[in-house]
Amino acid sequence: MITPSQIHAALDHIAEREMASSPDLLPAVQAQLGTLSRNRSSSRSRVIRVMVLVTLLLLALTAIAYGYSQGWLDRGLQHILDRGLHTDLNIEQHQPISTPAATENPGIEHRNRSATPEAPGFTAVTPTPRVVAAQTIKDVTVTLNWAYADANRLAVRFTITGVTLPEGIRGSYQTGLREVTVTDHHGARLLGSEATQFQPGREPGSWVVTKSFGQSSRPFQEKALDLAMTIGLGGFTTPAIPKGHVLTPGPIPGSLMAQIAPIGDFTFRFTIPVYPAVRLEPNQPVRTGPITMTLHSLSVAPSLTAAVLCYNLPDNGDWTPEAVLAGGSNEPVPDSGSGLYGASKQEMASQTSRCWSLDFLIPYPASDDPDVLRQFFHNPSHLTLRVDSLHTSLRYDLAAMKKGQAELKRQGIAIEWSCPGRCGTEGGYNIQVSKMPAGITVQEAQDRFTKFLQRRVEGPWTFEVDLP
Amino acid sequence: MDENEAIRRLVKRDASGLTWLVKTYQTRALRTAFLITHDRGLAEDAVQATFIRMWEKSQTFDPSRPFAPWFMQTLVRTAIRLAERDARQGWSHQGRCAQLDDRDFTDMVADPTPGPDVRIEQAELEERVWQALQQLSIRQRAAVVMRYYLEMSEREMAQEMKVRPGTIKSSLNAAREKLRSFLASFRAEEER
Repeated sequence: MITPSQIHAALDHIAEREMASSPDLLPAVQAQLGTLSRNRSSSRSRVIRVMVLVTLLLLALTAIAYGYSQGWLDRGLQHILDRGLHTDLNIEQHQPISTPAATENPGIEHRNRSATPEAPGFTAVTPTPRVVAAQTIKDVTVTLNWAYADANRLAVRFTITGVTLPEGIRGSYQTGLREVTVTDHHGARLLGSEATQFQPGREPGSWVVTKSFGQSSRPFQEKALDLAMTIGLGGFTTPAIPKGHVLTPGPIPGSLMAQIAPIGDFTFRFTIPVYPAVRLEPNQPVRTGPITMTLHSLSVAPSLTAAVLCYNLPDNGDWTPEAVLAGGSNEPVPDSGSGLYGASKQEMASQTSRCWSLDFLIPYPASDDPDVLRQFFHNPSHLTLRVDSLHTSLRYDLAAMKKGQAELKRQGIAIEWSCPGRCGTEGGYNIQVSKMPAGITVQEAQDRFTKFLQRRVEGPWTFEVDLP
Repeated sequence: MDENEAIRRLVKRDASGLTWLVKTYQTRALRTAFLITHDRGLAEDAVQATFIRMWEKSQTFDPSRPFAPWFMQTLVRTAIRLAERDARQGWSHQGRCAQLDDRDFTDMVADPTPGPDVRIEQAELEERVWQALQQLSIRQRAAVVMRYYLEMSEREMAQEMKVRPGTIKSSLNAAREKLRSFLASFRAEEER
């Protein structure tokens, strides 16, 4: 008699065999997005679909995710702001708009009043910003504050005033913000991952929003970026859960969903300088065990350092690197996001090798050293990139879970799990740490447990790079 | 970032949450979709569409509930829809109606007369399952994938597919009947 588990294994092997060279989905999404973007229609559903696809591409294309949406500015941007590397976009003209249709400010030449400070190690560019304006639609005003760009990152701050929304909306939706899109002077959309940082403004009902875009499908190599930015407000559905309301398990009921009417699209044009990156191509191979890893390139920009790593694969699993970057006397910084690099190219994402792009925010937001960024600016002498391990994604196999539980018990850590719904190898379990020795946090205990649910190849692979 | 954190971020429409989930689930999702559609392109389309749908609906997801069933349920429905649309355009085949049969799928793919010392090699079993799957209609295939690959109970399948339990039972039985017929001819061919 064949058991169901044998059938499961057979199906698993069939799927693995038939999809052995299963692609990373990113290039396909990119192609789909490109088609849809070119054929953008005026129908609302079409627009929403394109928006969703664009959003997905933003995530997927470079998969650089540094989502610091909950706090205020990450330290990298804060320090850039403190040092005045940003370009002020002061209000010169206020343009009320009577209809909610998309409008565009034609732009006014404007000289920046603040000088651009020199950043040792980087060649600063004199900013020549155009257009600075506020726009009003339906009593809601959007004002541009400042913008910043380096080779690996673009950030823009703006203020929204006059938005009135139901109580209980969470996340960036409480600002009324639906979407921000940025296009270059060719009309090509900048595609990179996004982070939204926001806080209440000085006036009641106002919000100060800083939108940050990761490196796009192409790095910013120009000396200046001539950009059009459209800020879409309203026109979305989101939960509005009043304070004190206790949600029951299951989907959020329709009565708690708020339909926010469209407010309008606010489009601004401006030009900002780009701080270039120090780009190195060490092509440095390091072999540990069966894996040879090569540090293909390193791009060090004032707000973000990007590294491209390539390595041969133990098998065709989704092997992902765990890496930290250290520079000077700083604590090692874990990568803030990563993604397949150049996956559309066969040689980059074949069955036997893979390349990843890893991003490291500078300075590390968790660091207590106020001068981390300054050190990178003034002492860009040496970086150490260390890849501690390669691992596959988690698989909640019961035998592996029991093995992990037994092993951790020997270390004085008690792990329990429960299954509130349907659980399987893909997850669904509530993992709880019910006992642990002093000096170990719950997170550390959970991390130790989840290592049993992955296949791992331990390193380290260490790369030493001197900066010019 | 772990899955809980990724889902919390997804619900807040923080892109990094979806990035983590795409990276974590896409391989498994592609394989599931392929087993249903038997077409690499359709499988990729189904997985992409499901991630898009997940992003669209993220605001309605309760982070305290397990993510995987929600995702896989949407994926299976999407794969069926795409495969059936493809079939309507003349690229697939539809199975005949079911006859109720209590026999299990596992009986259908097993050698009917294995002695206690006879072991079916994994490769042979895989080949049989693969050929058998190709004889099934899309919905029957989906039922087999849910039951044996995703390891869902019939009750769960009915709940997640939003159909009556009897419908699921019928689909599974139809799959079993068809497989039994297929394997009978397969064996007859082997014997010749």
